[in-house]
Amino acid sequence: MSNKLWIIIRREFLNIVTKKTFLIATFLLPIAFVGFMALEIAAISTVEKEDLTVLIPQEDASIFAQEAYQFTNTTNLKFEVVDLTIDELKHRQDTAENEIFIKPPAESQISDYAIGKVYVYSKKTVSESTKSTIRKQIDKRIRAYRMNAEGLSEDKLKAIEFDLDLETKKVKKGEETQGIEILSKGIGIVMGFAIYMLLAIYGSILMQSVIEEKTNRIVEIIVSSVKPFELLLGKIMALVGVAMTQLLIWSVAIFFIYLAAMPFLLDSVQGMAPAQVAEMDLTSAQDMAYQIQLEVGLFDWSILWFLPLFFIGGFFIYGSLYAAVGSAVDNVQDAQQLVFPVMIPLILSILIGMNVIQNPNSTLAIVCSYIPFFSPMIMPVRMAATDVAWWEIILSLLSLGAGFLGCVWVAAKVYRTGILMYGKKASFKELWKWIRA
Amino acid sequence: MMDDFCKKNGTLPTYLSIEKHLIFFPMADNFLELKHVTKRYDQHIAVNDVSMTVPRGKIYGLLGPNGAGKTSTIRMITQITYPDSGEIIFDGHPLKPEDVNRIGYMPEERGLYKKMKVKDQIEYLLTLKGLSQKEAKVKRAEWLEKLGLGDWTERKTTDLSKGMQQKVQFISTVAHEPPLLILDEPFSGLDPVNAQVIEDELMRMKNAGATIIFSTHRMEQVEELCDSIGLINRGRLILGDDINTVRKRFQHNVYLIDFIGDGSVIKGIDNVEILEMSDRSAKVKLPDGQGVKSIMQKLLNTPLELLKVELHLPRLHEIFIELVGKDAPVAAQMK
Repeated sequence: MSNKLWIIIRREFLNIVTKKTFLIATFLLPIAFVGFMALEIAAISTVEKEDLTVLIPQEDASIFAQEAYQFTNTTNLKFEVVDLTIDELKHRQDTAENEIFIKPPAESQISDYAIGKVYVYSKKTVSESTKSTIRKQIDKRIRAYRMNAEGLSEDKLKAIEFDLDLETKKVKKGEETQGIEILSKGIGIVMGFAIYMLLAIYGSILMQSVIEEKTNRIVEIIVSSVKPFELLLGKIMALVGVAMTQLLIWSVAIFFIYLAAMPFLLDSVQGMAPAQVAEMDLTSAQDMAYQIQLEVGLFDWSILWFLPLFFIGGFFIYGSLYAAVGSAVDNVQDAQQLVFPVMIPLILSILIGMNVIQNPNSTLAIVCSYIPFFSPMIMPVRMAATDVAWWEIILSLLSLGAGFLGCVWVAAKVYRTGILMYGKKASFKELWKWIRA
Repeated sequence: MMDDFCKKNGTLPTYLSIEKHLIFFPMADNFLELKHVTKRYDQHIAVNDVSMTVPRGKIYGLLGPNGAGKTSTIRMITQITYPDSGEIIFDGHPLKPEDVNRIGYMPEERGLYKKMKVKDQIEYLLTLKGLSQKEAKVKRAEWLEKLGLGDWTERKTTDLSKGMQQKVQFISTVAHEPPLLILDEPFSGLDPVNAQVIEDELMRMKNAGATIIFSTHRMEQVEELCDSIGLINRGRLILGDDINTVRKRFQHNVYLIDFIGDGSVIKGIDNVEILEMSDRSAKVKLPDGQGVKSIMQKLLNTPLELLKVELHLPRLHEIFIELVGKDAPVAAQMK
């Protein structure tokens, strides 16, 4: 890397990170995050538990139909075994809003119980506390069943770690869709959205900085010392550095907030085995914190290694295009119209992302995770929501790399002409001419 | 071999031997040379087959109306753009990318970062010209002091007056002491005192061996400062030479006469056309082929007491108008 490129990166980097707005944004966000979390917890804690009827199909009831292992009704939940199949329940027209139905683990699964799965079907989103009650009741009965069947002592059984997976499915007109799990999906949403926000915000910062250099007329002096391409590259790289610095600060802050908040929330269950926790009546907030902790442990965090790569790739693509737009206009107002084509794929990708969270293996999701304009947002979302093969990640990154080279090439052509044009806004036709030149 | 060389260079081998000899060192005197340089934008030819030579250690005035191709020419020398055809010879070799560090360029459309401190700004631009951080710091301090801006080092551009900004701009352009300086309208926005400061610096740098290309619309400055000029119109170099040679070439055999006595006797002299006449002086035009001798002889035969007889060399302004054309809208801008 040439020495002059470093000089440019250094100036551009310092120019942003020493600004008050940057410092405020960087340090305010984690504080806002804490506030948001506190509000969320407060809201969950005060939520009234909903009254629901939980239907269990006769044919899937397995051991839970037996007198000894029947579900016990709670203040909010009424359990009922019905003589209908899951399919019939799904297609039943008159299912009430407050009726949900579940498919507990089959008897064969229970007797060889390592990982059991319970499906919860509902019309609307099921609260975490309801899920937790169902999970606990099933867990307790399975333990009791196995204690009887295998003659295990209570102490021994308590020590055994069971992993009871609960999957929610939303039922709408007989069709089922994937419900949203708290963490894996949540991380996907947060990451996709964070990348989107950073690309949009830093993209427009870059664009404004290009416009500023042009209106200040300093750009001609600079390009008499360095190549326009070096200036463009330096500006993009500096902003990638700024964004990475900011992300790093945020990640560290959130990690420490998590470390600090969890013991506080999980005070009562700290150090207990899941079996013991199952016996306890936790508040909603504690319950959620407990679930988060479980899922944080299960989540495949290796995805975080790829996140910077997708972000950098995305930034080169969108950053270079934003810079090209900036070079082609004289002021920020004129940029609005030209920047629109750059924003379309960015906005589309967040819309597609919402869909991908629900259906991470749909054709749309798979195709979009290879398209350079979308993959920086879509691939991390997919990786969070489902298992993605390593070769898919490599392929996605390769296509992203190709896309980024293409965009930087096109942007450089527009940029080197645009920065020396004063007093007028280029039309799309002119931009096309500059690219072909 | 000598003949081959001459053929290649388009010179006739019948020249005097001393001239042949000179051909072997043709670039020694020229710091910069453009050879048939052409630059097209779209359908429009901005620079059309321009060949020009800028003598080493001299101030060269690059003149021409707006839109004539001056900035396009300068941008190719500074390697902001590249010629479509032709060649640029810089200090004896074809222009190469590293040469940007040996050029100081102050464009007509210039500015500074608004929110950046004066010292950071200058140091940034100097390091981009290849100075180390340390060298840039030393030069920056030295020059700010020299131009009387020592107290403004820590201030931002927006705190500075227009004239001060111009000085900061000038320092950023020259403080790395490049052998070639290209200044586009360097005095615009400067009051006479500051303009003189800049002018003195330019002369000092010229005397230290720097070559300076100087583009302006102000003809009196050109006459005062420049050793040679190049006039560009519609993308073509229509004139390029030593300034006195140019003025001599465009003289129209007009003489200025200061006298004591009755000037009407001048009217009686044959073949003399009177252009202007007052009680003490006259401006007359002689037919081609007649020089100062003939008018002197004729005047000595009159009772007039002569104070001065002088060949009138046209002002650059007049030459400019003559070449570019009065009808051109540019003529109005050349005042």
